[in-house]
Amino acid sequence: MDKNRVSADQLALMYFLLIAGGKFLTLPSILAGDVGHDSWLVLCFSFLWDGICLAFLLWAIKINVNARLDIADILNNSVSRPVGIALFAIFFVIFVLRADILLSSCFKMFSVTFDVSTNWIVFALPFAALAFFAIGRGFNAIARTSQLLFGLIALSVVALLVSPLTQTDFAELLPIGQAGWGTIVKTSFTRSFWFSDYIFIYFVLDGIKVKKHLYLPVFTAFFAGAALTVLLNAVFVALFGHLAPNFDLAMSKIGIFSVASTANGRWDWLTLSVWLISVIIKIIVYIFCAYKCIEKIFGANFVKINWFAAAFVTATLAVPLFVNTDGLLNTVIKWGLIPFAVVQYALPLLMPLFTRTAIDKTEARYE
Amino acid sequence: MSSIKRIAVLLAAFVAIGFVSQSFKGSNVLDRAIILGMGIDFDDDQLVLTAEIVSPGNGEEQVGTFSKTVTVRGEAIGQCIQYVAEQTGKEASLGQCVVVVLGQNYFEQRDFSDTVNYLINSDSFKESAIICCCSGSAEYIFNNGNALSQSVSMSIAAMLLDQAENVAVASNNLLDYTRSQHELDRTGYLNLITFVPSANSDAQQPDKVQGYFTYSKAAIFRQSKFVCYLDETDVMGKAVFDKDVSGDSFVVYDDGMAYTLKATHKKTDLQVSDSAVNADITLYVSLARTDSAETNGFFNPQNKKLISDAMLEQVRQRAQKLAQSFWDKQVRYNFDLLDVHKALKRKQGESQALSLKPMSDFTFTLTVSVKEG
Amino acid sequence: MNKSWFDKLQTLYFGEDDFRVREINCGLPLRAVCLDTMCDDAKVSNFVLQPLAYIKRAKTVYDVQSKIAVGTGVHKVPNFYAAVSDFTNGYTLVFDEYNGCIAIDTRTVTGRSVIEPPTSMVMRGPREGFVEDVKVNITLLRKRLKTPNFKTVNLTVGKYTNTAVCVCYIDGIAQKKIVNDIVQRIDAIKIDGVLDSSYLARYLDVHKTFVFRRVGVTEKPDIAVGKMLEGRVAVIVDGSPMVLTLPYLFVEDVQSPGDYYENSAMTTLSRVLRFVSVIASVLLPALYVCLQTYNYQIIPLRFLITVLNASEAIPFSPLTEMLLVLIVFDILREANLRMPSAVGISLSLVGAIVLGDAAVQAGLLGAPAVMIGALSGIGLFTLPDNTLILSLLRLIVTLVGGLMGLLGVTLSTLCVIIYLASMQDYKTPFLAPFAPDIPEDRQDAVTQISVPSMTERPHSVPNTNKKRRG
Repeated sequence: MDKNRVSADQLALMYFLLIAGGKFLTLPSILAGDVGHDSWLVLCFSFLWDGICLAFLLWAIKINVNARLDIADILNNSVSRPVGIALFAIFFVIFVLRADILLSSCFKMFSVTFDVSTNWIVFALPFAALAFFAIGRGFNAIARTSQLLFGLIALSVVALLVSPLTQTDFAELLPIGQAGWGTIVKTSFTRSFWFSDYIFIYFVLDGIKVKKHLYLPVFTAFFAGAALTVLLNAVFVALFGHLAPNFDLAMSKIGIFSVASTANGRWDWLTLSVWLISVIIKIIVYIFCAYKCIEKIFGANFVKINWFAAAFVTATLAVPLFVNTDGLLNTVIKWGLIPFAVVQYALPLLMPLFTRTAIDKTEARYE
Repeated sequence: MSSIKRIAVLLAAFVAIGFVSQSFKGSNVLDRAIILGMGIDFDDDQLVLTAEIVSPGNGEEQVGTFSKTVTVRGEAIGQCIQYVAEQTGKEASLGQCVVVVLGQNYFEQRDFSDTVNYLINSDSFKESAIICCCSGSAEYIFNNGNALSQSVSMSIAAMLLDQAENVAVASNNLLDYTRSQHELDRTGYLNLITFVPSANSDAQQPDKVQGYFTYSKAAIFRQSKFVCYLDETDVMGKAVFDKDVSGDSFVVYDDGMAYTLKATHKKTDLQVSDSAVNADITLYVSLARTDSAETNGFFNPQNKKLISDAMLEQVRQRAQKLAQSFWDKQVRYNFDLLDVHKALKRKQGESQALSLKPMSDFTFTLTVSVKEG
Repeated sequence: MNKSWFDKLQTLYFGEDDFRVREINCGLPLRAVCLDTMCDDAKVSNFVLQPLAYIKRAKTVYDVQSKIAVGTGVHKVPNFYAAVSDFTNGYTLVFDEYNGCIAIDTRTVTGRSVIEPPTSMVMRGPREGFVEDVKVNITLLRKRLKTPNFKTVNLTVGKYTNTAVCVCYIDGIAQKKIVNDIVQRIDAIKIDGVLDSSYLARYLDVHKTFVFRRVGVTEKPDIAVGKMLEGRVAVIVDGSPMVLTLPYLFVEDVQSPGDYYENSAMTTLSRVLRFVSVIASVLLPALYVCLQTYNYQIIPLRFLITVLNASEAIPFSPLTEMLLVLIVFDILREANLRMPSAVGISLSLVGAIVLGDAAVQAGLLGAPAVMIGALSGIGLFTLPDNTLILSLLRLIVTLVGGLMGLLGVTLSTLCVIIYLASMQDYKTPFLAPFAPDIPEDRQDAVTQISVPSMTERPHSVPNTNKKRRG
């Protein structure tokens, strides 16, 4: 479908926003609680794994450029449809949970930090409405929006980081590896739910336009996003030390810190709002992917918005209404870590093989 | 059908607007008691919170007094803030609070970690807000005007934030102080504010006490419990070590004339090992002039040497004495404002043994040199 | 059969005083027919009647056509529909007894003369503007495009108005597919009458956009030519001085006719100012309301005190107050637009001084709210073509911001951007060259490089020749 086509550059920028989008909310304090000032090392390890998987996924895209098979075609023709459906079900759970966790962080940000009290339904519904409006307009519109707002979002992050950066004593991160390398590597796996942002690419596989470069823009975005995330995390733990695990929303605290002069007003809230656009885009992308999962599971092709599927995905956003998100997250880590790892880390490594097989089978069928 | 659809969309929009307007509850700025500063005392087993609150003038009147104070009593800071809301009829807002002053009977007698933790964990309270303590009661400080400013809070914050560097006093914000109470040896300091009454020159309010604040002393705390005071000499001694603080002044004599020299900048090198601390400090001094802008060396058109070696030596001896005296005080009361424990932590990692290591375990070697500059 | 055309025409115009018939014998009996009110008497006399008087041995009406050399606009009429169309447009029709009909151009020129368009005044640059006559307008374009590559496609639209529409483009630059698409769309229009080019604009907007303008409009031939040189297509409608240009980009809204005649640095500065003021005028009232209602901590302390002082006595909520200011501003603007210019000035004074100042004095509105409203209103006028659209948009964003705070402003802004980003007419993304990012086109988007450095035509607009000097 044409409205879901994206160029390699757009894909790269979106990936950057997705990397940076959700990791400055609750993750830094969770990691600080896990491994103290070594949390930036956890990020480094996680990004290392992400980088390897991303390389394989991009290889699969290269193979698929002319064939333009979608993820359902690839999985159905390589690992059979039942396995494909099972994988889509896992994907669906991941995307919905990620959207829920991000939404709940946004809820905290708006209702606690910005002091606007509201209820979950009224908060989540506009997000869902915006997401389905965006899905209706096409993934291309989301990609273009990311492209348009990228500069502004990057500027807001820089504005928030400049003051803390100049005041951070990075020697606070010494000694390196105090938490123990085994613990650090283990934490990077147990917290893997927060990583592998590339998984959205599975659902736009058939729509990626590759003119000249693919690896260069995507890996540039990956390294930039990873570097920014590691830097921000390092600044957070260096600035707040032992207090870091107590601060739920890292960006909010860094924002307050940026407002050095007490008479200037909380201008950081304006920049935070701009930065939050990247989180909203991330939520939209995850809702798009969850919606696509339903499409793939039922083997349908929704030309316009399918209101039943939309209503179902919207209903899943009400989960935090009944379950505490922290509890939900812990349960996910306990039970879902291995199944999630299959689609997050094993599937990308196998994607080039699956894509080749699927293309061969499809071509053989036409011949 | 199309018109029915339109009516339905319009109705839905109106219902949504009504629903959303009822569901999003914010506080209009006019319904908020905006707290500029808080003074906290302890009296009769209760906290006494004195809050300086923005008080708008009438209509277009935008000059004149724009703050009022409200004093409430409660068992904890959170409760006191609730009472402020009750007294003013407006929801209390901490987002614009610039200073927290702890009264003498509070910080000397009580553990105030609950108060500090409440503030640092708040999402709206700025961690860059100044926290300090005062001689006497904080209520007295907030209820007596300052000749230089309309608002006591703004005045104290400006004093400690902007002037500290030029007058050799380090200041502490909420974040730095809280961290100092949670990490390693868990000791830190707060500036001590003293209100000095002076003659009242305000014809509008002849009954009100006027005066000014001094902040040349400090108090030391361990886990938010009072340890000891630092007098002017100790504070100056600390300033000698502090590379971010310039403005130390020294009176020296040459050819029977008195000269005032000020440190414009300094280099400090603190080498810490398991059992020894070696401090190597180089002070760069210049003649103090009447214009305070010179103290940081902004204006110095003359290139010829103005300060004799004898004058430099006098400064060196004085600085050495101040620094040594400060170190001795640290050893005596076992507190660490020079980040000796932190330096060791960076080498060895954090441990219980390091946190408990007393200052007396370190042998201290100090080298001070003074140069014109 | 031909006779019946004449009879049919006579029946159609039976009883009309300006229906004139003149019978002449040129070896065969001919009838010259014209509408007196639509024709120039001198032209009828010089180009039709006088030449016919000298022709003695014509066998068919087409012999007459070849012998009338004095008139330039003579053509054979293929069918009755075309005959009626020409007749109503001011052509004189000459019928023979049975064989055929020719049309001779005797249209009267009664329109405005070419003057500086009131909607696109410039400090520097050409001052000619389009007029209501399609022929004059094509002349204005041809004067600037002295090349055989300048092509026109003539069409007629409107069941009753039979309005002449001319699609103009430069062969070798404009993409033929786009031209054909536009021609087909115009051809397919079924409408009673076309009174202005804006009627066609609605049909040429592929996605029938709700608020945003998707078709460019210009009153200046130099601008139209400039756009055609970039590969766009111009559509001239008889009776309208507004020429449409397609495809259209959002960024064209911040570009002004005078931009290309000024220093590029100055142009960049003006465009950035326009861009910033537009964003500010849409977002400022919303931000002010949501800061007052939810997030007042953002306001610097001293300004906050000013706001508090000014707002304490206001009987309305911040949202109501701001909506009142904006609506009053819109009413004033609308009234000012409809008033004769002399009265308009007094109206502005009444609006600004009496309403604004009195409302503040009476404590009905706060001074900061009036100031924000006015500031936002002035910002809107930097894009005069879109004032109404932006005004509507700021009302919506203010309402949402007042209801939901910064979250509402963020979500509604994002919604508008997604909507704009999704639009793509005639293979041209509406938000190009920013979304999608087309680096080559940033040379003349918000920033502008000097004209000698612009060596390539825009990549956002489909064209067949990228080199400007190729």
